[in-house]
Amino acid sequence: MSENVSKEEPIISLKNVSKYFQDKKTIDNVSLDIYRGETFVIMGCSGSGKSTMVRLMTGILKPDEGSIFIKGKDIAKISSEELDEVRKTFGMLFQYSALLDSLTVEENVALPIKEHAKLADEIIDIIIKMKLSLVGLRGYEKYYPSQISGGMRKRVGLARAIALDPDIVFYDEPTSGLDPVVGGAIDKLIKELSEKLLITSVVITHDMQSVFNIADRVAMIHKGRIVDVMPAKVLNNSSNPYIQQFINGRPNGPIDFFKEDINIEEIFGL
Amino acid sequence: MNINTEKKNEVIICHIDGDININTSPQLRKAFEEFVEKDMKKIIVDFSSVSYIDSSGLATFIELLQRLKKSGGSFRICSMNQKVKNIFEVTKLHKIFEIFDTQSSAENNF
Repeated sequence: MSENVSKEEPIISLKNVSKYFQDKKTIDNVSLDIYRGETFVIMGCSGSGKSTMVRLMTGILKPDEGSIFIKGKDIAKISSEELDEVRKTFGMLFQYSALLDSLTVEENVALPIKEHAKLADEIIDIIIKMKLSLVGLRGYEKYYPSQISGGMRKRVGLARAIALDPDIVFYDEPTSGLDPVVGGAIDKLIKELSEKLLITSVVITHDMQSVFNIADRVAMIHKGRIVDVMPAKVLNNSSNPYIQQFINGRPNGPIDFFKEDINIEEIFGL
Repeated sequence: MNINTEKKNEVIICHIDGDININTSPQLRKAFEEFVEKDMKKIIVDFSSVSYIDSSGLATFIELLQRLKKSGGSFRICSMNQKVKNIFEVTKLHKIFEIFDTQSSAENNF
């Protein structure tokens, strides 16, 4: 897909978006276009604003300034009914899979189908089998989340995310808590599903291996601002000091966390 | 979505016009239930005016296949556009359905 990303109409478009929490500007004047069919990774350190970006794109949060267009509709300005309709075309894979422990694998996958559609139980059962086989979990319908591994739980989360044939899937740290091999397998699955099902994928992560595995394009976010956007294949050669510090995991550089020149007197009001 | 049916000898030809999605697939399921109840054993579904089918639509076809298998019947699909064909191929369902390029080839030897 990387070579053939459509440059026509972006499926997601942020225009001068800002978001404040208390007085702090968490997202600072972000403009960004994501195109149909691409796997777009937003990378950045913890607290950089990447989760807030996804909450804004999914309509969970409203921007204080700017506009967010999903398939041409400004989701901050539409009614909650219209937003629900737009959201039906989203899938979401949460950081810790967010499965309900008291429900079986098949009941977890059925949740969004039962919430959004009036289909016969027999049809839902067939859809669940189709989705579980797409993520390689045929035969695990009756298992509970506690009876399967972390990687399998992610796959159940993925089956649930694609249950309603979404156009866009948002992934929040899809490989967190997984060993590198299982993480790599999840990456492969995300890439395969995106390509096979023509899904636009928006992934937030700080797992560099995952970025190289799946991304068509990458945005680096720092302190709520987009520092750079580039194709993943040129990431290694980027001269941007933020990108270089991040991909090489260097403690020193423009991304500063521990200010060494802190004023200790000021902290304690002395 | 509109469903029009015609009978040619003992074959039912079902022309579908419109998208088969989560809102319209229950209507299709109802039509299929009628075919099975009336013990129709040979069904051709014409996809020439179908531009999209979602998972609920695919599931409806799988259910029809399961029911016809039990009753000794069979069905064929014809005239899919490439986009719809891709959906069947991605889900590997093209392996379990009898798919024909044209209605006349589907009618042949049925």
